[in-house]
Amino acid sequence: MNDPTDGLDLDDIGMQAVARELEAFADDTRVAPSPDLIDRIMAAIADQPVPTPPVAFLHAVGALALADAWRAWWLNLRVALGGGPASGRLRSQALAVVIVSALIVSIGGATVAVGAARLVQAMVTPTLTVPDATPTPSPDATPGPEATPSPPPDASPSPAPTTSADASDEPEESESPDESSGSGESHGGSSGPGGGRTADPDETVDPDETEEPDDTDDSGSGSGSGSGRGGSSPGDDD
Amino acid sequence: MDDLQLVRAVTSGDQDAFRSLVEREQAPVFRTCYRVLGRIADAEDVAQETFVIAYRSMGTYRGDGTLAAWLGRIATRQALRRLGQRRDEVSIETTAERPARAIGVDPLGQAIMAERSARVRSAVAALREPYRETVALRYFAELSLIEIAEQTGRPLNTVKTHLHRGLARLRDLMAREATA
Repeated sequence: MNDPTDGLDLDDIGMQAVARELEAFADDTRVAPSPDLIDRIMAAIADQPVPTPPVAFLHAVGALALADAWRAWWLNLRVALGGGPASGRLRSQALAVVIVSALIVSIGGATVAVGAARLVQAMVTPTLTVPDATPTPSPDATPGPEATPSPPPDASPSPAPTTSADASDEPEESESPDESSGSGESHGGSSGPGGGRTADPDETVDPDETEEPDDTDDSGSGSGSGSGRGGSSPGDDD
Repeated sequence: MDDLQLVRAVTSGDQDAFRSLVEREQAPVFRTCYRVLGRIADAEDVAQETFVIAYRSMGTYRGDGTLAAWLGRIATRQALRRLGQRRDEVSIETTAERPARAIGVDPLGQAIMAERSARVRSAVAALREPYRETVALRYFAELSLIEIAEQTGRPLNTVKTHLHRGLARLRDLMAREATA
């Protein structure tokens, strides 16, 4: 055996002692095999196929030795492409190994790629639908509460119909102005007094009728006119 | 016939070429197995397995190292695997299985040698990988550091580091056994 340290820097005495002990062990165990070992080995390989590159490839694949399989595949490729002296039969075997293994690997790779893509898609789509689902309810939910407060603004128009109803009442009360009934329908109760004014200018007689809306204001339609009268009522209440 | 010519002859179906390889390498392969396993019968079995594996894999031999080193690595791996399989068994080395060189030594010397061998073997077997393989390749298969680097595909400095750490762990293990 060479120097046991063999370029190693064994500065530790204990390690040097271990190295010496290992070397002494190797010297002690210089045993000779039994004489029939060679025959046993040759008998064991007698029924083995010739270790051509195709056979070596198949053995490596069978043993799941990927590095050996890769090396054997290259060797087969070299033999198939004409590198080195090889019989036509061996060359065709090597070519078959190269083509079949390349086909298997490419089909397997494509299958794995498609499977992986589907898996990724299946993993990604739920995550996309969930965010989509959550935002859609959230805007709906936010308008929902806003929709409930919105009725008050809607309620303000709704009074308009009510006032228009009032206005419709007004024409009922002042049945004579048929024209004002049209304006009353269009503008509603809030514009009722204004509507009376726009329609009325030509007919100066109507101011009398305009006084009537003041009367009708008692029913609560006009806030401004009611302020004078209504102001007393809260004062009364106070 | 050099290694590459031998390999070409074997892969073209020349069994005589393989026989010449077996005749040339059987002794070091057997010794490697024996150093790991400590039993002649087991060592011969594993040596035979080694040559069968080598024969089947001859088509994948790269030629970037000697055939002897290539066989040495296969033998070391197979022997360590067999050792792992029989770890639970109690090693009993009979007198008949003692090394041939030990015959003729006085009984006390034989006993000391057997004890030392058992101690070294069990200490190396207790190492973790990759230290165990590196130490075994260096001292059991008697490969140089460059050959180990070629066969394992590791850089030379990495092999040196593994061997250094392996020896340090062996020192600790053997010191612990000595005090126990």
